[in-house]
Formats: sequence, C-alpha cells, structure tokens
Amino acid sequence: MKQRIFLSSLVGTALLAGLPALAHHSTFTYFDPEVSVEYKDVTAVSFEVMNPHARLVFLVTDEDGNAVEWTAATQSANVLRRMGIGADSISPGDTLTVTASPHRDGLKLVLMTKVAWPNGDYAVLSIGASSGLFRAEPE
Amino acid sequence: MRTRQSILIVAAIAINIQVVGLVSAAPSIEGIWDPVFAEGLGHPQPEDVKLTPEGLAAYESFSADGDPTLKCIMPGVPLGIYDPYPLEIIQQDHQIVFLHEHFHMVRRFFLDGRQPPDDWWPSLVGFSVGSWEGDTLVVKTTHLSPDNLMWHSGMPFSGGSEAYVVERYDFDGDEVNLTAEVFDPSYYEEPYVIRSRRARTPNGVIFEYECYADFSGAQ
Repeated sequence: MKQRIFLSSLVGTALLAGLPALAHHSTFTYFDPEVSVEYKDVTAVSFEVMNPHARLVFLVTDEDGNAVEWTAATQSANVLRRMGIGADSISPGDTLTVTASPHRDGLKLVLMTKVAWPNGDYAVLSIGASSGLFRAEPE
Repeated sequence: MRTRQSILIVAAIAINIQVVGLVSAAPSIEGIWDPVFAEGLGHPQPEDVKLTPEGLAAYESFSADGDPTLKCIMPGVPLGIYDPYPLEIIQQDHQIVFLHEHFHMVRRFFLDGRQPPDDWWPSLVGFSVGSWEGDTLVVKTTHLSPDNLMWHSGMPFSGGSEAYVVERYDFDGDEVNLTAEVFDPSYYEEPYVIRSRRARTPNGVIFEYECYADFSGAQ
C-alpha cells in the first residue's frame, strides 16, 4: 500500500498541479519514476509517433562494445505534436541523449522523460508547464 | 388614464418576463476548452481517500490490465472525467455533447427530461442527465460499467448498480471549474471528489487520437 500511495500521489498530483509528470496512463506500474538513467550518445533506429505513447528504438553500446537495442516509450502523439515534435524530429541514425525511467522488471524498455539532440535542442517530455521542446540559442 | 395604466401593466409584465428569461437562460458554452493546470486540482491524495475493506482489497489487487486506456479503450466515467487534452462542447436545446480529444470519447448530457430506459445496459460513459442551476451545469451519470477505474493509479471503481457520479460545471465566461463527486459506496466510505478547470480557447484545435496498444502487453 505504501508504494502504491506514492505512485498514486505522483501521478495524480503532479499531473494536475502542473508539475512534471509522464503520461497519465498506468505507466508507473511498469516504470520506476524514482530512478532516472541517462543514455548518452545512443543511435536512433526508429521513432514512431502514436497514441497513447510514442516509441523510440535506439542502440546502446554495452561494456563489450556490442550494440544492444532498447525501446523507450514516451508521451502521446498528441502531446508531442503540440510541443512541435513529429515523426521527422528523430531519424534513423541520429545521435541522441535519452533520459528515462527504467522498467521495474529490468527489461530493455524504458520510459523516456527527456531527449536531447547534438545541436543543443532538447525536449522535456511531460505534461504541464515545464514540458516542451527547447531550442538551443543560435551561435 | 385607464389605457395608460393598462399599457404600463403590460409593459411591466413584458419586462418581467424578459428579466426572468435572462436569468434562467443557460450560458453559451460552445467551443474548445483546454485544460488548466493549477495547484489543488485533480484527484485526492490517496491518504485522504477512505476506502471500504472491499475497496481496499480491489486497490491492493490492482493490475494495469484494469486500465482500459492501455488497451486503447476510452476511459469512460469516472476515469475520463479528468484528462489533459482539449474538449469541444456542442450545446443544443435537448442535450449538451462533450467531444473529448482523448480517445475520441463522446458524452451526451440530456436536458429534455428523459430518463434511462429500464433496459439500459451499463457502459463506460453510462447515461447522463443534465440540468442548469444558474450558470452551473449539473450532470448525473448512472449505468456505469465495472470494467473501469477511478484513476490510473489503481483507485478502483465498482460499477455497481448503486454507483453514480454527479458533476457540477461552474461556468464563468471563458473559464469553467468542475467538481465531480463519485458515489461508490461499496468501495468508498464517502464520495470521491475530482476537481478540474478548463479555459475556452478561441483558436483551440482537436486532434485525431488514434491509438495503438503498446507496452501494456494488450495486443
């Protein structure tokens, strides 16, 4: 009950109070919002913009130098669209930095909370005032 | 003199009728309404919710499979009362229609006095009857489905025959505040209260919301 209370308050309060929150479906049943992992310089394989959650497949280089495929779920297509993010925002081969909450069962499936592009652009993938696509200042 | 009095009386009656008419007229609420995020809105803190033993057992045994939205099924009532997407309101004499962007959910609030037929089956949006109290739209929804949740966190909803929802939409120009009370006595010792706010957005748009089940495992 204690753990569930925490999850509930995080989803219910954060979303509605305009604080950072992820998709409001039962995502935290699968992912641990208390943990944030950064995957630096990963390579995009595919990016599908759909509801209720968009999906990024990317390659992570493991300790042995092997490219391992991971999948990141994130905000809905409609939320991304309002941010200005579409299917062409990420192309196969793009280098990205992905920040995500891990799967509770250790699967190579994560919940992406932020994505950053090499040019300095980044997107905070939540619902509320702090979310959005932020462009880097032109040099 | 008598003629002048008669004219005055008739005029007074006419003005009175006009005033009564103005007072009782429902506000114009058509348009697209975007969600407003603010402190104090939303679902109650779990520690403030008083579950019955049966409700607690349902909460403890929650599985995400019980969340219709992860299967691309519309959230219905009460789960879909709050959502963070735009809502379009269509206002007619006999009904008010809520067209939610979220999962394309459609709700009809009948204003013409009709009641649910005896054989009306339970459903995710149930059967809703509305009425105006000044600028407040009051909606009572019955015939709700047990295949639903109160909230995504696992707050349960029994969908029992005694369960119903009363929503009060307080319109104030281009802002509306909602207080929804969910009466579900088999799971909750007192009404579960949801609050939300929306603002009418002249340039608002409703997007399509096609859905593809994903990591829920529901294929």
